[in-house]
Amino acid sequence: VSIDDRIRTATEATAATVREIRPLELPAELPARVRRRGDRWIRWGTPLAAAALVMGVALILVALRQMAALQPGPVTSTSAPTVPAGIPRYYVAVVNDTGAGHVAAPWTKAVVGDDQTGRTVAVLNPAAGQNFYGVAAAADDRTFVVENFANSTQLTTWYLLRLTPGAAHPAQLTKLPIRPERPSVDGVALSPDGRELAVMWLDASGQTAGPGPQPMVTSLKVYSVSSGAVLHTWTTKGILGNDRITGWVSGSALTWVDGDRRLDFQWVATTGGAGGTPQSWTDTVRTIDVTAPGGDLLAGSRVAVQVPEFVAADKTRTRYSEPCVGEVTASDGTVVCGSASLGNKSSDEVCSTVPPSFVTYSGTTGKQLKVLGQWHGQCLQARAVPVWTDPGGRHVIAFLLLSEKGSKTSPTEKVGLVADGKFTPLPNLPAVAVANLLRDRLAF
Amino acid sequence: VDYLTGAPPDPRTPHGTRQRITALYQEHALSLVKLAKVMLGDQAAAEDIVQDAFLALYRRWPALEDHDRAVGYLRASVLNGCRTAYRGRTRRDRALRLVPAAADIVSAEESALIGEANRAVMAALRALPARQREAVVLRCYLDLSEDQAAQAMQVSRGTVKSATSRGRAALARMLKEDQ
Repeated sequence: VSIDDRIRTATEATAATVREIRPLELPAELPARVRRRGDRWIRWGTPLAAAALVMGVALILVALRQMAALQPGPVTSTSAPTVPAGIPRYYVAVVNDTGAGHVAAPWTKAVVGDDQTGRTVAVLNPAAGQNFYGVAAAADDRTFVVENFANSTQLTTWYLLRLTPGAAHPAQLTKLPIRPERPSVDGVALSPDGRELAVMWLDASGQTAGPGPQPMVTSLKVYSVSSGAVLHTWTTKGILGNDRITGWVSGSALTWVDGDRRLDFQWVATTGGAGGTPQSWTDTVRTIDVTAPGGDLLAGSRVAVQVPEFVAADKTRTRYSEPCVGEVTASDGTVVCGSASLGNKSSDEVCSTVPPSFVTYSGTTGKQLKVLGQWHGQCLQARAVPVWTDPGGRHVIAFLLLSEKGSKTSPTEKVGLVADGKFTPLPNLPAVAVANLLRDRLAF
Repeated sequence: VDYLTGAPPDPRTPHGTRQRITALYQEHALSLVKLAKVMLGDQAAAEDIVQDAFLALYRRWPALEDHDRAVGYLRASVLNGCRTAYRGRTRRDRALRLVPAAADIVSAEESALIGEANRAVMAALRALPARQREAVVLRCYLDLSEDQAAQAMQVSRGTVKSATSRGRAALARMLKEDQ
């Protein structure tokens, strides 16, 4: 058999494995205009201009280096902001160049940063057709899990991200052996020891419970990080109306508690109104014992905290206050709440009703424990969302959006540390992660 | 054909362009994905590259002077995409130490379909330098003439001839050493 025949046979056999391909996806916008002949200089001019720019920057850098060498003197180190002990130093934020925050946004990447110095440690770009869209952290400040959505399979895969600050390759990604089965998930939590991954999502039930939206089924799975095996599965049983985890906008607040023995998650219980529209709803934090047998999510879990109710300032609910948003549970079970208020351009009444604040609740009794920090000024809009808390719920890393009354500038959006009643911004956190305000896009 | 008027689509309008690109996709996409799969060994990446090639054609359609050469443009675009993906993948895999690469994961079904001997040929083919690999695949798999291969690879006919010859010799040597 000639070498040509062997090549032909092998390539045809490989090509024969392609049987189906996905349909063409064309964008909605119009094709580009016809380029005029007069514009052709752009084809030459652009690379030449880029080359000139690179040369210019290189010359400036060389000049600066030589100037620095000519100025001997004592070296003064820039002092990092004072941060209490136990606050994680490294974070991973999932961002993308388009600024869009949805799973389908292309080319999301993971940025690893140092919150004390503001330095970017590494930027991890996914392969073509892959999109990083979520992240969870273990307790060692070095281990993370990154969620990845593949355009071709429309499924989620997971990568373990290990940090070795100071090494030649400070961030290393390893694909986890978990079987891909979901397009996207609504909540993810890595156990403090980094050995178990909890994942939560909503599915349409296919059942109908009268008029109104279709009831949803909530599922929770725990995987072994090392083997990818499913260690435990829970789902909601029966028709529950609109009762559910809150979904992808604010996440499920899935958190490991008491080591790897319990999982807390946010749960919304509704009472029906006319026409299937929920008349009122109750936000709760539920807790489930991971070591106990059983597969019924609600029967196996209990309410740890019932959070204060949503306050609407008008009938259309366009102005409102939420005394508890973005719940995060500390490892001892203490629940930390943020808050949200939205008024209009001329009124500050909703912000006065519920000032932006961070409040803790007991996971045992459900009672309010302490106000960690509160804004006392007048504001038109505010959103205070915890992202991380320490074991006792004393310190919180949080997102803060504040639109002050009378200010002509755009709202302040920052991620910072809440400690001793003060909010101290952390330096250089990626703006996109802040603006999107989606849980599981930023992990400490 | 415009379903309302029965007239052929006007390629100068956005609607006509979409119809023409979609028709080209229906006719040629499968063979282009097969070509990219042969080059890369990874169907997901192959489909991405072909989608990107059609998207680029759609965007450049108004500026394309000879629409009859669209298939040649697509083939060159897919080869270029494979070259970039191959280069990017090896660099990234080295940097991130991703294990294993998608192209190295072959399902049991696919493994049975291809066969052990053919897998050895494909592994040797993918170990060739990019230009030799492209020349050998275009000449032996697609049965293109030297002129057509030169057009797709955007090189001279002489380059295709020498790259094919060297690629064949290197493959014969590698496969002999394996036995």
